[in-house]
Amino acid sequence: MDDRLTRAPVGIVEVGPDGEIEAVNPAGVAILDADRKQLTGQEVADALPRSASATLHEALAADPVVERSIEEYYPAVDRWLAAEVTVVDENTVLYLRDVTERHDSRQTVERLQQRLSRLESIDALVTRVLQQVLDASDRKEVWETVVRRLGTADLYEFVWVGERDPADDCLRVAASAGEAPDVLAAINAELGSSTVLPAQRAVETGSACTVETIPDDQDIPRDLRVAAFSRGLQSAFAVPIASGGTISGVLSVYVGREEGISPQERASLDALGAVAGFAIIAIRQADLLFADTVTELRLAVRDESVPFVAASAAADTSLSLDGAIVGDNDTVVCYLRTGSASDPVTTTLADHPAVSDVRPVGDGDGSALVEVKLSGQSPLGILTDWGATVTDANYTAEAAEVVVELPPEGDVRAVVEAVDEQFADATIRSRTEHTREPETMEAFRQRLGESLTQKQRRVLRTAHLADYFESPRGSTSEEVAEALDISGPTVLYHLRNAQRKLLNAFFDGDDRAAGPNPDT
Amino acid sequence: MGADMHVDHPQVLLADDEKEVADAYAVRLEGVADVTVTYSGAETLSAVDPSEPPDVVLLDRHMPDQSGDEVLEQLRERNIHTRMIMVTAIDPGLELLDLPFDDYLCKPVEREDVRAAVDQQCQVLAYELLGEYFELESKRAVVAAELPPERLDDHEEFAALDSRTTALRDRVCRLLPDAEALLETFSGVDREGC
Repeated sequence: MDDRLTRAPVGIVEVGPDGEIEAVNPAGVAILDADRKQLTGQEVADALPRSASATLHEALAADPVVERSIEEYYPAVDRWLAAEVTVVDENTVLYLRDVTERHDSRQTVERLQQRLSRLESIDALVTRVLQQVLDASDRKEVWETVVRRLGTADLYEFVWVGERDPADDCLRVAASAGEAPDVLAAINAELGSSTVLPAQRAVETGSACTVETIPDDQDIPRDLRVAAFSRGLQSAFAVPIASGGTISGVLSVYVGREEGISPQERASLDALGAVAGFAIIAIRQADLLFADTVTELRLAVRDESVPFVAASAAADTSLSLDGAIVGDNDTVVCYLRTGSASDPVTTTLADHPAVSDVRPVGDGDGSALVEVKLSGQSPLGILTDWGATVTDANYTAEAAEVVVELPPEGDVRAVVEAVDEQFADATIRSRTEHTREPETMEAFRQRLGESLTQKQRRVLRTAHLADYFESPRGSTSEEVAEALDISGPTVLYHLRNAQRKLLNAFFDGDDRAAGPNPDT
Repeated sequence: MGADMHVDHPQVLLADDEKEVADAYAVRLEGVADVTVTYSGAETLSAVDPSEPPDVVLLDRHMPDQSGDEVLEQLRERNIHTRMIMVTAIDPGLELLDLPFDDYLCKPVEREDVRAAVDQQCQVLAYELLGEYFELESKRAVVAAELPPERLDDHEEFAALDSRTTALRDRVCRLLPDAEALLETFSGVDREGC
């Protein structure tokens, strides 16, 4: 072979009229993964690797040889080769190029595009579900919406939502979608037994649980593995439906795709679990807000680890709750009234692990008000998470007694169990149903009007008309005072009294201690 | 296990969306089977001719357009005599399953394994067909014995039965090289009584 061909960057194979290889350049030898000496003199049909469709062999076997370009995959050398079959005089000349890299990158691009488009559809789907979940009017609708939307979207082969029964801590299937009756049957059977499904793991740990390959995961019960394998379900992902530490249920999705569930997709589903959990709690609280009848529950918690019980014991005084505001991140700000000076109470509370801040608000005659910020688990936090409204609470050295209102459909047992789970010995002291009569606007005005004195009303109205309450103020207190021909301090004194009465009336006086904070 | 197969050149259809994988299987079966390669679910479905179905289909479970499971379900609906082997990426190591397919292979599949699996399924298929053949053949023999030959010639139902029986016999013999003797014995039985 001529030097120029020998050193060519493409593989060159010269085949004689008898079909035998006459010469191969080094590039050709490398591409064919062969020995040069063995190649020369061999039948070209035997020397070349075969592709599944054998196109190259057919072209070479034709008489006369057909000139053509063939690009094929050759399993024996695991390469994509581009071959040019040419006829030069009597001989057939093959030009070979290794184009594996180009095919590999095409495949990589395709795979990435597929992944991207799937991720986009999942995101769009989750966003749609989020909107609908927030519009749901009851718990069942939340479960159904999540399951129906996810399960019929072609992205998930099987979806189920489990609702947690706080009484026995068991999960039960609240809704499911997808053609997999045997998988559902296996799950139902396992929920009643002692084995642990991914969904149960997610509920127990409060965080998502991933199973990459269900069929060969020995932790999964065999029946479920068999059912999943026969349905072609490969991976599972379970995410708790939870908000503010309260786990209402769990969402489980099963997929058959080879690449499983990507971290980005898991994040989207995680968000869905959190929003659905929030929706469940919001629904519970809305139920209470609009309920005509409520269940009043008097709950005793005999546990010295309740912060205010501990404080009551240490300071040797009983404590009562004036009110509590639920804030972000599981914090509750409480206003406690003590039967004695605030000192011993604040000192004990300051050292309690569940208390992040204590501040005496003021000492009065034989009683004091203390502001306490709780950031750990407390019966108050758990109760409000469950949609209950705390109306009263008293603490002694032995026990906390909390009075809460629950919506009529509220699950009393579930609420008590939730408290009992965190604190020892929670019992129901009494339970009564009563009707709430919504107060009309007129009645409210009248009640307020009756409580304000003539003077308070005049000062309040003047200040209001003089834009004293605008920001920035339209008038100063001095200017309001001048208009009324009284002194500045007198205006402030009357204003403060009037505002207090106004706020008392609005917040329903002493009736209402803690409830969902409208700002959060 | 050796690479030799009992069955001589069975009709094999194999499907995998990854050309490299599909072609590699095809090459592994080269010389011992008549292989048709397809690269998508849709292509697989149109490659199956119900009047002359493949003996064995090797299906990749993970194909983007239509999964192997979907293709399997549609092929089953066609009521064809074909054994289905699923090719999966996972080895569940579960035994004695009531699976919706006849066998499964886990990637990567070695030459010996794919040949052994195809061979085994062909034998199962042969015995399955044998049962049906016996059923049809006994019916055919009875009719043939009871009707005079001139009436048989233009008896449409008999002609259909006859050709179905012959086709079954041919297929059984192709799949099971030692079937010939067995079939001869069966045909020798006097069914119409004397």
